[in-house]
Amino acid sequence: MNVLLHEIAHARAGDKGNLNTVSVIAREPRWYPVLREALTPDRVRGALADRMRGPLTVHRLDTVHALVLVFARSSEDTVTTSLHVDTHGKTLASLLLGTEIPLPPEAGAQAGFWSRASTASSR
Amino acid sequence: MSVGVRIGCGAGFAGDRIEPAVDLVERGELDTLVLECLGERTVSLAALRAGDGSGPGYDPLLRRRLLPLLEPLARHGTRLVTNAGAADPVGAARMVRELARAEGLSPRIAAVTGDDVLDRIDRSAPAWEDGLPLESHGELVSAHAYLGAETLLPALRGGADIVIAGRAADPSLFLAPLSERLGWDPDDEELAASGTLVGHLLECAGQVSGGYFADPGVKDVPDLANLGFPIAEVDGDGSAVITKLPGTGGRVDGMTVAEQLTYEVTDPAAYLTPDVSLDMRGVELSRAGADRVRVAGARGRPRPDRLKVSVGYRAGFRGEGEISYAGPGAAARARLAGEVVRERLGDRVRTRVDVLGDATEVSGECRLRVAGTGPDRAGAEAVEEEVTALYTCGPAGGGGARTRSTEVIGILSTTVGRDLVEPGITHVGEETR
Repeated sequence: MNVLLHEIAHARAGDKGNLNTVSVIAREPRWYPVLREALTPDRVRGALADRMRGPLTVHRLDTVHALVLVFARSSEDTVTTSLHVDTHGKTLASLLLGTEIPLPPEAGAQAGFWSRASTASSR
Repeated sequence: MSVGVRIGCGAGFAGDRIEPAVDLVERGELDTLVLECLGERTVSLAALRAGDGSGPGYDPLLRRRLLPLLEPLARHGTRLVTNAGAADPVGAARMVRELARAEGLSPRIAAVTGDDVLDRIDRSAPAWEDGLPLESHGELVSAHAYLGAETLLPALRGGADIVIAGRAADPSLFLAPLSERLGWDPDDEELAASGTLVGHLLECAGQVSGGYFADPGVKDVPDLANLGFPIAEVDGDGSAVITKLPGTGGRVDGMTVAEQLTYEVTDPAAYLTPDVSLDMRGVELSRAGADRVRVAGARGRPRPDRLKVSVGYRAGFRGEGEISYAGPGAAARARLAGEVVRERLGDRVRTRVDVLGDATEVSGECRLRVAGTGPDRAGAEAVEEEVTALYTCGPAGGGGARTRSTEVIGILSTTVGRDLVEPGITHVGEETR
């Protein structure tokens, strides 16, 4: 069963030098393990490939149930030189939240998530 | 434990709203108000303005921002700390002195100098961004080192009412007044980390109190149009409560604070400032009442040996143009228009073409957006001209063309040894006391 990341997490994007950051925070502590499983480099790249160069680094902030994703930008796509409309990359957090992720059946049942999950996967 | 200090943040970037700061001073019982008004590029643009005389070397909005603030600051005995001095803190201080004089006020104003290191950086040093020598990117026009709290402390200890810095690290604008009031030992890394954490949470102003957060139906924020800016109540042990004024819009809770805690953090184990390396992995957030979040658990390690420097360089020119299409086939017409512009521009500029909007094959509206960058102004202007020409020479029904072009100032990062930076304080306004 898949759900949108948006259903179990919130996120904020930032930039620092040639790096973009996207923090992804579990809406409830019980979703934190699901996030850690789901946010693989392939899945993140699937959502953000246009703005990602090089490897993805994932930092854990266990006390607030957050993952901090860090990746490099293209040397032609810095905050000041970018040709994108969103030069900072502030919209990347919301883009990522549109990613479908697998929800383990026991996690879904635990939260009574089945009805909303099926709505999401039919979009 | 010493008595706590209340510190507020009345601006989180150069273009922030003005009136929330006034509300903070009038009702916040603040010890210190911080105005953070400087992005990475802002100071570089300010240096260029000062250089060619086209405008002030300080934040051009500073006058408007301070006009409604100076009298309330004086009446409440609240100190002001800001980085709005940009490339000319002394010039900003003189302007503020005149502004205050006109209102019959005579604050003690201190300008913090020494961040301009253009004449002492190693121009052949590799940029962090791509490892290539700084000077290989283009003409270097500015270089500003991130000054730490210790550079602001002498002014605060000397009793300044208004401290105007240029390129100081954002959290240092908070750590300095907290250290001064709470009597913290600058070498105490745990306290420096705690004060830095408070600064990190507050430096973007409304972003911790419900701004940059609302997602209707999912993360609702009450009265966003009247967003309240944040206050930290900081205890002597470094723990703090983040809150906002009653009666303002926004919200302060575990979700808003967690988003700001993780904002622009590239390594939670080592958030580097000139003052300390902050380890936020043990930070705990707990509810302390309505719109109140207690923050504790920052750990500190020794500060970096070298200071980060933001270097501005001339990165060529960028032209942009947009035009709208609607109704059946809108997206196809927009794509055709994009192909036309691409063909016309050839390789004069590096071009990006986007079709924005929600047009389907039969209805809706979309907007072509073309951006191009190159070494000369004529190339950027060609982007404008080609998009404008779509009116009569492009596909059917294009409307609402808008174009602009601008010189691009790029930003690179490097470091400089602390021994090459000579911070100083210039007192302005003492003669009026």
